[in-house]
Amino acid sequence: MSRSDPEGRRRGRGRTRRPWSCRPAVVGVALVAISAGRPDGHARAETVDATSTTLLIGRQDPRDGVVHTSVPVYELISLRATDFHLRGVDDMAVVMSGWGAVALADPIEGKHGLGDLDIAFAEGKLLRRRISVRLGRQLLIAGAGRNLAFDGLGVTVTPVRWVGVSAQAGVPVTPRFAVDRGDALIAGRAFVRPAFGDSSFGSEAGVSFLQVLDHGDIARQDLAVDARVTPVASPLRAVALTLSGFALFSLPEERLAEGDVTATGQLGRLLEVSGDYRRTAPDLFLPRNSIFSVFSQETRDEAGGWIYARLVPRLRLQGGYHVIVDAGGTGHDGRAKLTGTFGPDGRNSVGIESRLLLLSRSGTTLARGYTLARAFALVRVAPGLVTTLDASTFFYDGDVNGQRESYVGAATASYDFRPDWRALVTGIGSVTPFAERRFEAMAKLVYQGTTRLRQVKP
Amino acid sequence: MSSPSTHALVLLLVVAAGPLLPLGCARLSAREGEQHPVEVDQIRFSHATHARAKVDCLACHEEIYDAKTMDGRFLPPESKCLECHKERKAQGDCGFCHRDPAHPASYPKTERTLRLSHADHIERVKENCAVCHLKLPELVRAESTVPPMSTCTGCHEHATELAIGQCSPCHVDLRRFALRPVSLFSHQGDFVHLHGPMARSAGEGCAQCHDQTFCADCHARTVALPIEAKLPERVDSDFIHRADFVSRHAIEAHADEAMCRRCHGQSFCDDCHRAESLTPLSANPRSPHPPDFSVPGSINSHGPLARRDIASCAACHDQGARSNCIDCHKVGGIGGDPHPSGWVNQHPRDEINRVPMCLSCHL
Repeated sequence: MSRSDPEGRRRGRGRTRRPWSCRPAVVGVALVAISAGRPDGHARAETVDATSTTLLIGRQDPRDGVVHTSVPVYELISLRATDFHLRGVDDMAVVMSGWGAVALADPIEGKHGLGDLDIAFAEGKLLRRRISVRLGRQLLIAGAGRNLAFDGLGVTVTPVRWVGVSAQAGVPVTPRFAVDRGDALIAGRAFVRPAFGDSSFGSEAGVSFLQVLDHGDIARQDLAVDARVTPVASPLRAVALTLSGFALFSLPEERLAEGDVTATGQLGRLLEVSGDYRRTAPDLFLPRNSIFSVFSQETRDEAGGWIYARLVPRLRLQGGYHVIVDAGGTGHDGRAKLTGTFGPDGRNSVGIESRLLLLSRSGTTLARGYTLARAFALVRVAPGLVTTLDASTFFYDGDVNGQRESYVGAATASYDFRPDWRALVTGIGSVTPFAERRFEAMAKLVYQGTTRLRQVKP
Repeated sequence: MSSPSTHALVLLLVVAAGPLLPLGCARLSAREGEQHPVEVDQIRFSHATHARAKVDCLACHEEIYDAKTMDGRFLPPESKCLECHKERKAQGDCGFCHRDPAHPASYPKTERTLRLSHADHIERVKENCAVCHLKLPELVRAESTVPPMSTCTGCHEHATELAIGQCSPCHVDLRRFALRPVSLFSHQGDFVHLHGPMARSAGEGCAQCHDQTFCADCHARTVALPIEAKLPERVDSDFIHRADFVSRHAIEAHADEAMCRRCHGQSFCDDCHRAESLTPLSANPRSPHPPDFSVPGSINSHGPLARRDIASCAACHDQGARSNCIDCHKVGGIGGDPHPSGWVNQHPRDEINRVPMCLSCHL
């Protein structure tokens, strides 16, 4: 496509998502799986962790004034095969999670069947774990990645233990409900991991770069620095102070897209206090080739703190407050939650929670805040049988579809009827601004087990 | 993977294979004889009582003395108990040892989570097990009695291994046998918001316990359902979209629109709004905006709102060169210049010919 071809741009922006954009991931993992399953047995996985979740949901969906009946069946699968014995490769694993769904009544997203792969990669470490290779569908979490999913190759090289570089290349995964956000990605990060004692576990600093191209146009081009360090920790690490910071700089706009600093102090499991400050430029979260990227250069600032306290062994209190400052003025976000445990071994719990979100209403008469009141309980009524209750009420500070309150209640019963197996039923009832009455039921069957084809000995 | 029929076939296989997967795995497990009974019985035993009676640890756990690995069974068999308590069994007093005498069972078989040689430690601690085992299981004790890691690091220097997250020499598999982190990676407090910054810089530490499939439960762009829908039983967890999120989503988006954009793609909102006839592209469009939205200078005028929440606007209206904002705001249009102040300082005019998007308005 020519870079000066607006029609091409129109075509690009108008493209719908690729519902099965998983070919690179599938091919990569399939190749590894085939090679790993060689009949000589040298590369067979010895341990397979599998999770299967089957969900049957029945609900009423009020859409555009019409009540639709949705009865989808979801099957979610997660697999992790490890303990391969492949010469020259350590810690090899094949990891996959995906899902499929069938609509028994009204279609989901206009279809009666759909599915996708969330994660699908093979990974291994070479040269005494100095080189780590990951091939397939994966998330780019570190540094500038901002949790970007892509199909491709990731390599991390740590020539010495405390310093390394990583590089990724591939194709960004198209989100569900969305158009493509790019067709090529390259990323890299250089990092140091200081080793100055036990407390340095988890300490790391890095510089990273990420570029996403969309038909040759730059959709994202970011440079980031990040750091996390625990400079103060007692010998048994009961007391620790951890500092972290991050800054993401948009190279095309030469502005800070996101920056944050956080300090967390901890006293074992009894007390944790954190303070943080964050600045974002929401327009820089849009692709640079979006026409909406030219309308705004506002910033949003947020600062506040959080406290977690285990007042007595069976009572936990947590809460926080943040002030939010944006172009519209000053807003407030406060939360509090009190949880108590009771019964033998403290296996039952009950809690209350509240949140007050109050944004500036200058420049609008729309609802800009709400108050939440919530109560919940979890009770183990018999071995393996657990029931939960959850009730939430929202009071809005303005009209939402002409209403000012929401009421939602949920009850769940789950039963572990065999080791690794759980059956669960849930009922949810609600009265909301968008539905006078709504009821939803769900049945869930979960298997979560490990299969060892051979005992792995140290 | 390109034709609709292939898609349908793959979908059918995934849906059909799901329920069969655990059956297959369960069958493999059965070969190993590892099926555990559902929780029915527990052995009533007090270490404190036996310690007061001056029973030496190795009197009951004698196999531990030569144990080079954690494989094996180190809890005493019933015959060991009967060396002192056989009269109880003779009297039929099963409840002396079994919590559920009607269904007596042995200790549940547990998988070993550590690699450790007791044989190499016992002589060094002069057969004083309490050097490491600070707490022992009692009749009523909720907390873990496994020695804390600080016990190990009290003698073993593991600074480097800790720093680079090389846990496997001691821990069998932290992903399968995850520990509750007490410090440094504590999951308490404001973890919903703090885990992101933590993972950005110290993902290697997270990866010791969590595969990316765990992250993907919430963060994959392709997830089937939000995590709240998948885990309704987790009432104590702090989920972002819990309860009636639809009614408050606009408020949450205004509170932190960048947070929405981390996960939700460009037209996530539009798909739903179109179904609700809330976009111009709907069959019978209804406007979600207040009546004075298009009136310049009114309290709900779209201009200032767009400056503050441009990502929310883009969520529905970003159709590239067909976006409805162009109708009024193109060069010569009645809407005037939409660029923020200072725009021209950063974007010289020759950019118009270099960036195709600009030509949508600057014809």
